[in-house]
Amino acid sequence: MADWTQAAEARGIELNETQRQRLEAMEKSITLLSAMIDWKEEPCQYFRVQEDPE
Amino acid sequence: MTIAEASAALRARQVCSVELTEACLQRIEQLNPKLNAFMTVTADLARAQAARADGELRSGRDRGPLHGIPIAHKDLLCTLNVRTTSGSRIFTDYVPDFDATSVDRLAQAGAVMLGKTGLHEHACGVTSDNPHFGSIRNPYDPERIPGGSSGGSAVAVATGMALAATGSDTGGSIRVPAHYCGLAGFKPTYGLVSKYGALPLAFSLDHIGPLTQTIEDSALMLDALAGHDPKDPSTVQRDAGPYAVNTDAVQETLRQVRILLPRNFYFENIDTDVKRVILLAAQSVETAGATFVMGAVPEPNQLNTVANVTFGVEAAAVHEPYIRKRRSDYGADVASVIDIGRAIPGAAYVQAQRLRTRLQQVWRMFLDKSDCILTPICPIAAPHIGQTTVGIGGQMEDVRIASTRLVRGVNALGFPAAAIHVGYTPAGLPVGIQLIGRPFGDARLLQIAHAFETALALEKRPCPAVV
Repeated sequence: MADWTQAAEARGIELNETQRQRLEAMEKSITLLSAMIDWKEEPCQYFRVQEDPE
Repeated sequence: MTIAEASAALRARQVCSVELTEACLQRIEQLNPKLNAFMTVTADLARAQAARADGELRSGRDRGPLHGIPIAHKDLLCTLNVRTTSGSRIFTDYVPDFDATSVDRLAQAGAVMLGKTGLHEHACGVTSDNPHFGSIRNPYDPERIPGGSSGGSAVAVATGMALAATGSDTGGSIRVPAHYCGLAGFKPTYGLVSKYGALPLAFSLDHIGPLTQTIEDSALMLDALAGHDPKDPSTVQRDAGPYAVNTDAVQETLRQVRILLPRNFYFENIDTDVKRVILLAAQSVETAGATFVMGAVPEPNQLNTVANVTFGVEAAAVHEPYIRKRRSDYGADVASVIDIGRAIPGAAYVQAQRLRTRLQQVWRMFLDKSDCILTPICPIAAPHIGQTTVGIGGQMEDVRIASTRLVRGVNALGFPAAAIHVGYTPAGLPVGIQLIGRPFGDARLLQIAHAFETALALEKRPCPAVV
Protein backbone atom coordinates (compact mmCIF):
# COMPACT_ATOMS: atom_id res chain seq x y z
CA MET A 1 0.00 0.00 0.00
CA ALA A 2 1.35 3.47 -0.83
CA ASP A 3 2.49 5.75 1.98
CA TRP A 4 -0.80 7.27 3.18
CA THR A 5 0.50 10.69 4.13
CA GLN A 6 2.45 11.14 0.91
CA ALA A 7 -0.55 10.03 -1.12
CA ALA A 8 -2.79 12.47 0.77
CA GLU A 9 -0.44 15.38 0.24
CA ALA A 10 -0.16 14.52 -3.45
CA ARG A 11 -3.96 14.89 -3.59
CA GLY A 12 -3.76 18.33 -2.01
CA ILE A 13 -4.94 17.35 1.48
CA GLU A 14 -2.83 19.39 3.88
CA LEU A 15 -2.02 17.50 7.06
CA ASN A 16 -0.59 18.84 10.29
CA GLU A 17 1.79 16.85 12.47
CA THR A 18 -0.95 15.33 14.67
CA GLN A 19 -2.98 14.21 11.66
CA ARG A 20 0.15 12.78 10.06
CA GLN A 21 0.95 10.81 13.22
CA ARG A 22 -2.59 9.43 13.45
CA LEU A 23 -2.56 8.35 9.82
CA GLU A 24 0.84 6.71 10.20
CA ALA A 25 -0.36 4.82 13.29
CA MET A 26 -3.49 3.64 11.44
CA GLU A 27 -1.46 2.61 8.39
CA LYS A 28 0.97 0.60 10.52
CA SER A 29 -1.84 -1.03 12.44
CA ILE A 30 -3.96 -2.01 9.43
CA THR A 31 -0.88 -3.40 7.68
CA LEU A 32 -0.13 -5.63 10.68
CA LEU A 33 -3.77 -6.71 10.92
CA SER A 34 -3.77 -7.74 7.24
CA ALA A 35 -2.24 -11.00 8.42
CA MET A 36 -5.66 -11.90 9.85
CA ILE A 37 -7.45 -11.56 6.52
CA ASP A 38 -8.64 -14.64 4.75
CA TRP A 39 -7.72 -13.66 1.20
CA LYS A 40 -10.10 -16.22 -0.27
CA GLU A 41 -12.94 -14.33 1.35
CA GLU A 42 -15.07 -12.13 -0.88
CA PRO A 43 -14.81 -8.57 0.46
CA CYS A 44 -17.86 -7.22 -1.36
CA GLN A 45 -20.31 -8.59 1.16
CA TYR A 46 -22.37 -5.41 1.12
CA PHE A 47 -23.22 -5.50 -2.54
CA ARG A 48 -26.14 -7.58 -3.71
CA VAL A 49 -28.18 -7.27 -6.83
CA GLN A 50 -31.69 -6.61 -5.63
CA GLU A 51 -34.27 -9.02 -6.95
CA ASP A 52 -37.46 -7.58 -8.38
CA PRO A 53 -40.35 -8.10 -6.00
CA GLU A 54 -42.69 -10.74 -7.42
CA MET B 1 -39.11 11.19 37.49
CA THR B 2 -38.59 8.13 35.30
CA ILE B 3 -40.75 7.06 32.37
CA ALA B 4 -41.96 4.05 34.37
CA GLU B 5 -42.99 6.27 37.31
CA ALA B 6 -44.65 8.88 35.09
CA SER B 7 -46.45 6.20 33.14
CA ALA B 8 -47.85 4.66 36.33
CA ALA B 9 -48.86 8.10 37.64
CA LEU B 10 -50.63 8.91 34.35
CA ARG B 11 -52.67 5.74 34.53
CA ALA B 12 -53.50 6.29 38.20
CA ARG B 13 -54.78 9.78 37.18
CA GLN B 14 -52.33 11.35 39.65
CA VAL B 15 -50.93 13.51 36.88
CA CYS B 16 -51.75 14.26 33.27
CA SER B 17 -49.49 14.64 30.25
CA VAL B 18 -50.14 18.40 30.07
CA GLU B 19 -48.84 18.77 33.64
CA LEU B 20 -45.76 16.64 32.94
CA THR B 21 -45.09 18.62 29.79
CA GLU B 22 -45.54 22.00 31.51
CA ALA B 23 -43.13 20.93 34.26
CA CYS B 24 -40.51 20.06 31.64
CA LEU B 25 -41.09 23.32 29.74
CA GLN B 26 -40.68 25.30 32.96
CA ARG B 27 -37.45 23.51 33.73
CA ILE B 28 -36.19 24.18 30.20
CA GLU B 29 -36.96 27.87 30.68
CA GLN B 30 -35.15 27.87 34.01
CA LEU B 31 -32.06 25.81 33.09
CA ASN B 32 -31.50 26.00 29.36
CA PRO B 33 -29.97 29.51 29.37
CA LYS B 34 -27.30 28.12 31.71
CA LEU B 35 -26.75 24.63 30.27
CA ASN B 36 -27.62 25.04 26.55
CA ALA B 37 -29.14 21.57 26.17
CA PHE B 38 -31.89 22.51 23.71
CA MET B 39 -31.39 23.98 20.23
CA THR B 40 -35.09 24.35 19.57
CA VAL B 41 -38.03 24.17 21.97
CA THR B 42 -41.34 23.22 20.37
CA ALA B 43 -43.51 24.34 23.30
CA ASP B 44 -46.78 24.86 21.38
CA LEU B 45 -46.45 21.53 19.59
CA ALA B 46 -45.65 19.79 22.89
CA ARG B 47 -48.70 21.30 24.59
CA ALA B 48 -50.94 20.23 21.71
CA GLN B 49 -49.52 16.69 21.68
CA ALA B 50 -49.86 16.43 25.47
CA ALA B 51 -53.49 17.58 25.36
CA ARG B 52 -54.19 14.99 22.66
CA ALA B 53 -52.46 12.28 24.70
CA ASP B 54 -54.60 13.15 27.72
CA GLY B 55 -57.75 13.10 25.59
CA GLU B 56 -56.89 9.69 24.20
CA LEU B 57 -56.23 8.27 27.66
CA ARG B 58 -59.52 9.69 28.92
CA SER B 59 -61.35 8.07 26.03
CA GLY B 60 -59.70 4.70 26.69
CA ARG B 61 -57.06 4.75 23.96
CA ASP B 62 -53.77 3.76 25.58
CA ARG B 63 -50.73 3.61 23.29
CA GLY B 64 -48.48 2.05 25.95
CA PRO B 65 -45.85 3.14 28.46
CA LEU B 66 -44.64 6.15 26.42
CA HIS B 67 -48.14 7.58 26.03
CA GLY B 68 -48.05 11.21 27.17
CA ILE B 69 -44.35 11.12 28.13
CA PRO B 70 -42.42 14.31 27.25
CA ILE B 71 -39.16 13.55 25.46
CA ALA B 72 -36.53 15.35 23.38
CA HIS B 73 -34.85 14.45 20.10
CA LYS B 74 -31.22 14.87 19.17
CA ASP B 75 -31.02 17.57 16.52
CA LEU B 76 -29.79 15.24 13.82
CA LEU B 77 -33.09 13.36 13.61
CA CYS B 78 -35.27 14.91 10.96
CA THR B 79 -38.49 16.39 12.27
CA LEU B 80 -41.37 17.52 10.10
CA ASN B 81 -41.40 21.33 9.82
CA VAL B 82 -38.92 21.65 12.70
CA ARG B 83 -35.37 22.80 11.95
CA THR B 84 -32.76 20.03 12.06
CA THR B 85 -29.19 21.33 12.17
CA SER B 86 -26.94 18.42 13.13
CA GLY B 87 -25.27 21.08 15.26
CA SER B 88 -23.72 22.53 12.13
CA ARG B 89 -23.64 25.68 10.07
CA ILE B 90 -24.07 23.53 6.95
CA PHE B 91 -27.62 22.58 8.02
CA THR B 92 -28.47 25.70 10.03
CA ASP B 93 -31.57 26.43 7.96
CA TYR B 94 -32.60 22.88 7.07
CA VAL B 95 -36.28 22.26 7.80
CA PRO B 96 -37.22 18.68 6.84
CA ASP B 97 -40.58 17.82 5.31
CA PHE B 98 -40.68 14.45 7.05
CA ASP B 99 -40.03 12.73 10.38
CA ALA B 100 -37.16 10.31 10.91
CA THR B 101 -38.49 6.80 11.50
CA SER B 102 -37.35 6.90 15.14
CA VAL B 103 -39.20 10.19 15.69
CA ASP B 104 -42.28 8.80 14.00
CA ARG B 105 -42.21 5.56 16.02
CA LEU B 106 -41.94 7.39 19.31
CA ALA B 107 -44.78 9.70 18.27
CA GLN B 108 -46.89 6.67 17.34
CA ALA B 109 -46.15 5.30 20.82
CA GLY B 110 -47.67 8.49 22.23
CA ALA B 111 -44.51 10.37 23.27
CA VAL B 112 -44.68 14.17 23.37
CA MET B 113 -41.88 16.06 21.59
CA LEU B 114 -40.49 18.95 23.65
CA GLY B 115 -37.88 19.99 21.11
CA LYS B 116 -34.46 19.31 19.67
CA THR B 117 -31.27 18.93 21.67
CA GLY B 118 -27.81 20.22 20.85
CA LEU B 119 -24.85 18.10 19.92
CA HIS B 120 -21.22 18.14 18.91
CA GLU B 121 -21.05 19.57 15.39
CA HIS B 122 -22.22 16.88 12.92
CA ALA B 123 -22.09 14.39 15.85
CA CYS B 124 -18.39 14.20 15.05
CA GLY B 125 -16.84 14.51 18.51
CA VAL B 126 -17.32 13.95 22.21
CA THR B 127 -17.10 17.38 23.84
CA SER B 128 -20.36 19.01 22.64
CA ASP B 129 -18.34 22.23 22.68
CA ASN B 130 -20.05 23.56 19.59
CA PRO B 131 -18.40 26.46 17.69
CA HIS B 132 -21.70 27.52 16.08
CA PHE B 133 -24.23 27.10 18.90
CA GLY B 134 -22.08 27.37 22.04
CA SER B 135 -20.88 24.90 24.65
CA ILE B 136 -23.34 22.47 26.18
CA ARG B 137 -22.59 22.28 29.92
CA ASN B 138 -22.47 19.41 32.36
CA PRO B 139 -25.14 19.79 35.07
CA TYR B 140 -22.79 18.34 37.71
CA ASP B 141 -20.30 21.12 36.99
CA PRO B 142 -21.15 23.66 34.27
CA GLU B 143 -17.46 24.25 33.63
CA ARG B 144 -17.14 20.67 32.40
CA ILE B 145 -18.29 18.95 29.21
CA PRO B 146 -21.38 16.70 29.24
CA GLY B 147 -19.74 14.35 26.73
CA GLY B 148 -21.01 13.85 23.25
CA SER B 149 -21.97 13.83 20.70
CA SER B 150 -25.46 13.49 22.25
CA GLY B 151 -24.55 16.07 24.92
CA GLY B 152 -27.79 18.07 24.82
CA SER B 153 -29.92 14.94 25.12
CA ALA B 154 -27.93 13.79 28.16
CA VAL B 155 -28.17 17.17 29.90
CA ALA B 156 -31.90 17.40 29.19
CA VAL B 157 -32.57 14.01 30.81
CA ALA B 158 -30.13 14.46 33.71
CA THR B 159 -31.84 17.70 34.74
CA GLY B 160 -35.46 16.68 34.18
CA MET B 161 -35.88 19.02 31.23
CA ALA B 162 -37.10 15.85 29.47
CA LEU B 163 -37.99 12.41 30.81
CA ALA B 164 -36.00 10.72 28.05
CA ALA B 165 -34.22 11.62 24.84
CA THR B 166 -33.00 10.09 21.64
CA GLY B 167 -29.30 9.91 20.86
CA SER B 168 -27.06 8.53 18.18
CA ASP B 169 -23.86 6.55 18.70
CA THR B 170 -21.16 6.19 16.03
CA GLY B 171 -18.20 5.79 18.38
CA GLY B 172 -19.68 6.17 21.86
CA SER B 173 -22.00 9.17 21.42
CA ILE B 174 -24.75 7.71 23.64
CA ARG B 175 -22.54 5.91 26.17
CA VAL B 176 -19.99 8.70 26.72
CA PRO B 177 -22.56 11.39 27.69
CA ALA B 178 -24.40 8.79 29.80
CA HIS B 179 -21.14 8.28 31.72
CA TYR B 180 -20.33 11.98 32.09
CA CYS B 181 -23.90 12.93 33.11
CA GLY B 182 -24.88 9.95 35.30
CA LEU B 183 -27.48 8.33 33.04
CA ALA B 184 -28.50 5.06 31.46
CA GLY B 185 -28.19 4.68 27.73
CA PHE B 186 -28.40 1.94 25.17
CA LYS B 187 -26.68 1.34 21.85
CA PRO B 188 -28.73 -1.43 20.24
CA THR B 189 -27.42 -4.10 17.90
CA TYR B 190 -26.77 -2.57 14.48
CA GLY B 191 -29.84 -3.09 12.32
CA LEU B 192 -32.37 -3.15 15.13
CA VAL B 193 -33.35 0.54 15.00
CA SER B 194 -33.90 2.43 11.77
CA LYS B 195 -31.50 5.23 10.84
CA TYR B 196 -33.85 6.60 8.21
CA GLY B 197 -34.00 10.37 8.60
CA ALA B 198 -30.95 10.56 10.86
CA LEU B 199 -28.36 12.86 9.28
CA PRO B 200 -25.48 10.42 8.86
CA LEU B 201 -21.94 10.50 10.17
CA ALA B 202 -20.66 7.03 9.24
CA PHE B 203 -23.25 4.77 7.57
CA SER B 204 -22.18 1.42 8.98
CA LEU B 205 -21.30 2.64 12.48
CA ASP B 206 -24.26 4.94 13.23
CA HIS B 207 -26.79 3.61 15.76
CA ILE B 208 -29.90 5.32 17.15
CA GLY B 209 -30.81 4.68 20.79
CA PRO B 210 -32.16 6.16 24.02
CA LEU B 211 -30.73 8.19 26.90
CA THR B 212 -32.79 7.78 30.06
CA GLN B 213 -32.69 7.90 33.86
CA THR B 214 -32.80 4.10 34.16
CA ILE B 215 -32.23 0.98 32.10
CA GLU B 216 -35.90 0.11 32.60
CA ASP B 217 -36.74 3.32 30.72
CA SER B 218 -34.19 2.58 27.97
CA ALA B 219 -35.93 -0.75 27.42
CA LEU B 220 -39.32 0.96 27.16
CA MET B 221 -37.90 3.35 24.57
CA LEU B 222 -36.31 0.50 22.59
CA ASP B 223 -39.64 -1.32 22.46
CA ALA B 224 -41.01 1.62 20.50
CA LEU B 225 -37.87 2.24 18.42
CA ALA B 226 -36.91 -1.25 17.27
CA GLY B 227 -38.19 -2.99 14.19
CA HIS B 228 -37.64 -3.45 10.49
CA ASP B 229 -38.00 -0.35 8.36
CA PRO B 230 -38.33 -0.74 4.59
CA LYS B 231 -36.83 2.76 4.27
CA ASP B 232 -33.58 1.62 5.91
CA PRO B 233 -32.10 -1.47 4.23
CA SER B 234 -29.66 -1.96 7.12
CA THR B 235 -32.53 -2.89 9.45
CA VAL B 236 -33.10 -6.59 10.02
CA GLN B 237 -36.34 -8.49 9.60
CA ARG B 238 -36.02 -10.42 12.86
CA ASP B 239 -37.91 -9.31 15.92
CA ALA B 240 -35.66 -9.77 18.93
CA GLY B 241 -38.09 -8.10 21.37
CA PRO B 242 -40.00 -7.41 23.48
CA TYR B 243 -37.38 -5.39 25.31
CA ALA B 244 -39.27 -4.17 28.39
CA VAL B 245 -37.49 -5.60 31.45
CA ASN B 246 -39.12 -7.93 33.92
CA THR B 247 -38.83 -6.05 37.21
CA ASP B 248 -39.88 -9.18 39.14
CA ALA B 249 -37.00 -11.26 37.79
CA VAL B 250 -34.05 -9.34 39.25
CA GLN B 251 -32.93 -12.05 41.69
CA GLU B 252 -33.37 -14.81 39.12
CA THR B 253 -31.36 -12.81 36.56
CA LEU B 254 -28.56 -12.18 39.06
CA ARG B 255 -28.41 -15.87 40.01
CA GLN B 256 -28.07 -16.91 36.36
CA VAL B 257 -25.80 -14.21 34.99
CA ARG B 258 -22.11 -14.61 34.25
CA ILE B 259 -20.32 -11.29 33.73
CA LEU B 260 -16.80 -11.14 32.36
CA LEU B 261 -14.36 -8.60 33.77
CA PRO B 262 -11.55 -8.08 31.27
CA ARG B 263 -8.06 -8.71 32.58
CA ASN B 264 -6.47 -6.81 29.69
CA PHE B 265 -6.91 -3.37 28.07
CA TYR B 266 -10.10 -1.98 29.61
CA PHE B 267 -8.87 -1.45 33.16
CA GLU B 268 -5.37 -0.41 32.12
CA ASN B 269 -4.59 3.31 31.94
CA ILE B 270 -7.72 4.50 33.69
CA ASP B 271 -8.10 7.05 36.44
CA THR B 272 -7.87 5.42 39.88
CA ASP B 273 -11.06 7.07 41.19
CA VAL B 274 -13.05 5.90 38.18
CA LYS B 275 -11.65 2.38 38.52
CA ARG B 276 -12.45 2.26 42.25
CA VAL B 277 -16.09 3.28 41.69
CA ILE B 278 -16.53 0.61 39.00
CA LEU B 279 -14.92 -2.20 40.96
CA LEU B 280 -16.94 -1.32 44.08
CA ALA B 281 -20.12 -1.48 41.99
CA ALA B 282 -19.13 -4.87 40.59
CA GLN B 283 -18.42 -6.09 44.10
CA SER B 284 -21.90 -5.00 45.29
CA VAL B 285 -23.56 -6.81 42.41
CA GLU B 286 -21.46 -9.93 43.05
CA THR B 287 -22.59 -9.83 46.70
CA ALA B 288 -26.17 -9.61 45.44
CA GLY B 289 -25.72 -12.92 43.61
CA ALA B 290 -24.12 -12.32 40.19
CA THR B 291 -21.15 -14.39 39.04
CA PHE B 292 -18.08 -12.53 37.81
CA VAL B 293 -15.27 -14.18 35.92
CA MET B 294 -11.94 -12.68 34.92
CA GLY B 295 -10.67 -13.21 31.40
CA ALA B 296 -8.58 -11.73 28.61
CA VAL B 297 -10.69 -10.24 25.80
CA PRO B 298 -9.58 -10.33 22.14
CA GLU B 299 -7.30 -7.33 21.54
CA PRO B 300 -9.60 -4.25 21.46
CA ASN B 301 -6.96 -2.12 19.70
CA GLN B 302 -7.57 -4.20 16.58
CA LEU B 303 -11.23 -3.25 16.76
CA ASN B 304 -10.36 0.41 17.33
CA THR B 305 -8.20 0.45 14.19
CA VAL B 306 -10.99 -1.08 12.13
CA ALA B 307 -13.48 1.39 13.63
CA ASN B 308 -11.18 4.36 12.98
CA VAL B 309 -10.55 3.47 9.32
CA THR B 310 -14.25 2.77 8.72
CA PHE B 311 -15.29 5.94 10.51
CA GLY B 312 -12.77 8.17 8.73
CA VAL B 313 -13.65 7.02 5.23
CA GLU B 314 -17.42 6.97 5.72
CA ALA B 315 -17.44 10.42 7.38
CA ALA B 316 -15.28 11.77 4.54
CA ALA B 317 -17.75 10.32 2.02
CA VAL B 318 -20.67 12.03 3.79
CA HIS B 319 -18.91 15.39 3.99
CA GLU B 320 -16.97 15.40 0.71
CA PRO B 321 -19.50 17.61 -1.12
CA TYR B 322 -19.53 20.20 1.69
CA ILE B 323 -15.96 20.23 3.00
CA ARG B 324 -14.54 21.20 -0.39
CA LYS B 325 -16.90 24.12 -0.98
CA ARG B 326 -17.72 25.32 2.53
CA ARG B 327 -14.64 24.54 4.59
CA SER B 328 -14.95 27.72 6.65
CA ASP B 329 -18.38 26.52 7.85
CA TYR B 330 -16.76 23.64 9.75
CA GLY B 331 -15.21 23.79 13.21
CA ALA B 332 -11.48 23.10 13.21
CA ASP B 333 -11.71 19.78 15.08
CA VAL B 334 -14.38 18.33 12.79
CA ALA B 335 -12.59 19.47 9.61
CA SER B 336 -9.43 17.83 10.92
CA VAL B 337 -11.18 14.48 11.50
CA ILE B 338 -12.74 14.59 8.03
CA ASP B 339 -9.38 15.39 6.43
CA ILE B 340 -7.86 12.31 8.05
CA GLY B 341 -10.68 10.26 6.53
CA ARG B 342 -10.13 11.82 3.10
CA ALA B 343 -6.51 10.71 3.26
CA ILE B 344 -7.20 7.02 3.95
CA PRO B 345 -6.77 4.89 0.78
CA GLY B 346 -9.77 2.99 -0.57
CA ALA B 347 -7.96 -0.35 -0.29
CA ALA B 348 -7.52 0.17 3.45
CA TYR B 349 -11.28 0.62 3.84
CA VAL B 350 -11.97 -2.66 2.04
CA GLN B 351 -9.41 -4.47 4.19
CA ALA B 352 -10.98 -2.95 7.30
CA GLN B 353 -14.35 -4.42 6.27
CA ARG B 354 -12.76 -7.85 5.78
CA LEU B 355 -11.13 -7.58 9.20
CA ARG B 356 -14.39 -6.45 10.70
CA THR B 357 -16.09 -9.68 9.61
CA ARG B 358 -13.23 -11.69 11.04
CA LEU B 359 -13.21 -9.81 14.36
CA GLN B 360 -16.95 -10.16 14.65
CA GLN B 361 -16.53 -13.95 14.51
CA VAL B 362 -13.76 -13.82 17.13
CA TRP B 363 -15.81 -11.67 19.55
CA ARG B 364 -18.99 -13.64 18.98
CA MET B 365 -17.20 -16.85 19.94
CA PHE B 366 -15.63 -15.10 22.91
CA LEU B 367 -19.07 -14.00 24.16
CA ASP B 368 -20.20 -17.64 24.24
CA LYS B 369 -18.20 -17.92 27.48
CA SER B 370 -20.23 -15.31 29.36
CA ASP B 371 -23.46 -13.32 29.10
CA CYS B 372 -21.75 -9.97 28.77
CA ILE B 373 -18.50 -8.07 29.27
CA LEU B 374 -18.25 -5.29 31.86
CA THR B 375 -15.94 -2.40 30.99
CA PRO B 376 -15.53 1.25 31.91
CA ILE B 377 -17.04 3.69 29.38
CA CYS B 378 -14.38 6.38 29.74
CA PRO B 379 -11.11 6.21 31.66
CA ILE B 380 -11.83 9.60 33.26
CA ALA B 381 -14.69 11.63 34.71
CA ALA B 382 -15.95 14.69 32.82
CA PRO B 383 -13.07 16.99 31.77
CA HIS B 384 -13.28 20.76 31.67
CA ILE B 385 -14.64 22.64 28.66
CA GLY B 386 -11.72 23.53 26.41
CA GLN B 387 -9.40 20.95 28.00
CA THR B 388 -7.58 19.15 25.19
CA THR B 389 -5.36 16.72 27.12
CA VAL B 390 -5.73 14.76 30.31
CA GLY B 391 -3.17 13.03 32.53
CA ILE B 392 -3.92 9.37 33.21
CA GLY B 393 -1.43 7.30 35.17
CA GLY B 394 1.26 9.92 34.63
CA GLN B 395 0.79 10.05 30.84
CA MET B 396 -0.89 12.81 28.87
CA GLU B 397 -3.62 11.78 26.45
CA ASP B 398 -5.89 13.63 24.00
CA VAL B 399 -9.30 14.08 25.69
CA ARG B 400 -11.19 13.01 22.54
CA ILE B 401 -9.20 9.82 22.12
CA ALA B 402 -9.31 9.01 25.84
CA SER B 403 -13.09 9.49 25.92
CA THR B 404 -13.75 7.01 23.11
CA ARG B 405 -11.01 4.38 23.21
CA LEU B 406 -13.03 2.02 25.42
CA VAL B 407 -16.27 2.28 23.46
CA ARG B 408 -15.67 2.94 19.75
CA GLY B 409 -14.64 -0.63 18.89
CA VAL B 410 -18.11 -1.94 19.79
CA ASN B 411 -19.56 0.13 16.94
CA ALA B 412 -17.37 -1.77 14.47
CA LEU B 413 -18.79 -5.02 15.86
CA GLY B 414 -22.36 -3.74 15.88
CA PHE B 415 -23.01 -5.58 19.15
CA PRO B 416 -25.36 -4.09 21.77
CA ALA B 417 -23.94 -2.10 24.67
CA ALA B 418 -25.68 -0.69 27.73
CA ALA B 419 -24.45 2.27 29.78
CA ILE B 420 -25.30 2.21 33.49
CA HIS B 421 -24.63 4.92 36.08
CA VAL B 422 -22.78 3.27 38.98
CA GLY B 423 -21.46 6.01 41.25
CA TYR B 424 -19.51 9.20 41.75
CA THR B 425 -15.86 10.18 42.07
CA PRO B 426 -14.80 11.91 45.31
CA ALA B 427 -15.23 15.19 43.37
CA GLY B 428 -18.92 14.31 42.86
CA LEU B 429 -18.69 13.54 39.13
CA PRO B 430 -20.71 10.63 37.73
CA VAL B 431 -19.17 7.34 36.64
CA GLY B 432 -20.75 4.73 34.38
CA ILE B 433 -20.04 1.26 33.10
CA GLN B 434 -20.58 -0.42 29.78
CA LEU B 435 -22.04 -3.92 29.42
CA ILE B 436 -21.35 -5.43 25.98
CA GLY B 437 -23.75 -8.20 24.96
CA ARG B 438 -24.24 -10.75 22.22
CA PRO B 439 -25.58 -9.60 18.84
CA PHE B 440 -29.38 -9.44 18.92
CA GLY B 441 -29.25 -10.36 22.58
CA ASP B 442 -30.53 -6.85 23.37
CA ALA B 443 -33.49 -8.01 25.46
CA ARG B 444 -31.27 -10.24 27.60
CA LEU B 445 -28.63 -7.52 27.94
CA LEU B 446 -31.23 -4.99 29.08
CA GLN B 447 -32.55 -7.47 31.63
CA ILE B 448 -29.02 -8.02 32.98
CA ALA B 449 -28.33 -4.28 33.03
CA HIS B 450 -31.60 -3.68 34.88
CA ALA B 451 -30.71 -6.36 37.45
CA PHE B 452 -27.27 -4.78 37.85
CA GLU B 453 -28.77 -1.32 38.34
CA THR B 454 -31.38 -2.61 40.80
CA ALA B 455 -28.87 -4.63 42.83
CA LEU B 456 -26.62 -1.61 43.06
CA ALA B 457 -29.52 0.52 44.40
CA LEU B 458 -27.50 3.68 43.88
CA GLU B 459 -28.92 6.77 45.48
CA LYS B 460 -28.85 9.40 42.76
CA ARG B 461 -27.57 12.79 43.80
CA PRO B 462 -29.43 15.77 42.38
CA CYS B 463 -27.43 17.68 39.79
CA PRO B 464 -25.98 20.81 41.41
CA ALA B 465 -27.24 22.81 38.42
CA VAL B 466 -30.83 21.89 39.33
CA VAL B 467 -30.66 22.45 43.09
